[in-house]
Amino acid sequence: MYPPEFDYYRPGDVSEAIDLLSGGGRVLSGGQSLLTELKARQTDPGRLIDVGRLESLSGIDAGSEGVRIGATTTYAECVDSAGVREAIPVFAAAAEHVGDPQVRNRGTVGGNLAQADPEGDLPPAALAADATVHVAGPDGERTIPADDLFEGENRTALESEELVTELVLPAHDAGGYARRIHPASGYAMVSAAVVFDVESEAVAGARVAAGGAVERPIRLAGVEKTIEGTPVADLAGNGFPTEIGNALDRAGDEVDDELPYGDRHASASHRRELLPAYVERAIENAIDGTGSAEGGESR
Amino acid sequence: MTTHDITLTINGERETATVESRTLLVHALRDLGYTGPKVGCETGSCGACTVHVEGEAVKACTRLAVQEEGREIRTVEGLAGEGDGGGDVLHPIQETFHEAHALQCGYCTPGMVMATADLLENDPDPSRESIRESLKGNRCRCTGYHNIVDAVESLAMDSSAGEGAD
Ligand SMILES: Cc1cc2nc3c(=O)[nH]c(=O)nc-3n(C[C@H](O)[C@H](O)[C@H](O)COP(=O)(O)OP(=O)(O)OC[C@H]3O[C@@H](n4cnc5c(N)ncnc54)[C@H](O)[C@@H]3O)c2cc1C
Ligand code: FES
Ligand code: FES
Repeated sequence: MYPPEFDYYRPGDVSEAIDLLSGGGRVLSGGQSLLTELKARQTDPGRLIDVGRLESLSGIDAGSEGVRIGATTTYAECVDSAGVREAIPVFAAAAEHVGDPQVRNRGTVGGNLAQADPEGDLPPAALAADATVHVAGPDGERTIPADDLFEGENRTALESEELVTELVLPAHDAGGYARRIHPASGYAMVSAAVVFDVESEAVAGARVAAGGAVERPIRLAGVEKTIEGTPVADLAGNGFPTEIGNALDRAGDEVDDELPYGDRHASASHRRELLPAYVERAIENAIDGTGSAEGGESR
Repeated sequence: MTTHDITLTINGERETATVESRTLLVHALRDLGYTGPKVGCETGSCGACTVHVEGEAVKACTRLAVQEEGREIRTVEGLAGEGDGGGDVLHPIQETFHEAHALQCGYCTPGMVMATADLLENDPDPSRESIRESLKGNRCRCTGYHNIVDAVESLAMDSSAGEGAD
């Protein structure tokens, strides 16, 4: 399988990249999604603007307040970064589950968010972590909060001539991620990401996001509200308090206003049924600091 | 159609090639005579095309050749060492795959071996679970994986396997 013909450009800096993009074509980063689309002839952009080697877009700057991650930083670099694991554990946990080692060596953070795959691992983690996406375009720079980034299956608030330059994520005290592996693709058939701070030994500022069952990752306001203020000790150990269990049972209802997402391997309603179990696991992982868990059999 | 003159260092040899923009790394390598990397699914799923780029395992069908311009590539051909009396001496990973019956048709083997080399270079003593996890990107239609995992596990206990044979 060969991609259709195209012209390949490797700009030397961001402004050159934007100039090139203004003339049409698509951004190429890790290529782990885009090349497959090209080979399948799902897209024929005519031009690819390769930002994968732009030094200024790569790297991790982690501090106690939070972390900046360049758009072309790979998943492997995120997983290997002690700063990412400590300051934003939910993001490290999600990155660790993307695809396989080869994909993690080449796939990039910016590419993953721009791809906005309903079964992608980073979108729900970025949403729960309250990430801000920094974007450069012909009209200058702007920021997009993760809450406003995802619009649907492979659809984001990015314009076609805009470039994600970096992600800024505030630090959190506890973060957990859980996913059900898709039996065929290995993507996240259902996923949940949970983030909160701990104040006076209780949950504060909880953000809970779900992916896989709907076209875009969304926050579960009901679950967030119920765990807010709960003593952390009540979430550790056996069984959650009743009202939290009830809120988890309603997690599926919370995604009902969204466009459902499913395929012939797992229908949207099946995924919706699985959701509470994965939200529960993500909370447990946030509490015990293990960060992540995967359910289901890959082979 | 745009073409690019690129240089790659493959198993220590400097190679030049003229490639189309759309030429995949795996095709460029095979055209240069490095047929170790196999073309399986061409969608990034099977891992038969796995090579190392700058020391990291990468699926060569998921990259354009021009994207890796100027970089160091290692293919399975670069693993075997030279014996005292000339001729190739298998790398410990290859030797162990052979001993443990970790291959049948052998189509997945170059990719499996390169993925294993990457794993052992990062973690010389992985658990059985982490071996399975690390070879997740490599499919085998013949062995049922069991002997492959056994082979890697026995290498894990032999810490010399992560190092090159040359
Ligand atoms: C075998 C396999 C398994 C996979 N499994 C998973 C999985 O389990 N979970 C998961 O989340 N993903 C998975 N992926 C997808 C992988 O994570 C991709 O890396 C990711 O979707 C895209 O990132 P990329 O850097 O490769 O981007 P590319 O493929 O280069 O680009 C993807 C899209 O984003 C756009 N884009 C890229 N960078 C930017 C930027 N800086 N600014 C604006 N637009 C940009 C491109 O134009 C394109 O539309 C898998 C891929 C493979 C091949
Ligand atoms: S041929 Fe490259 S992953 Fe299958
Ligand atoms: S030995 Fe035949 S595919 Fe693995």
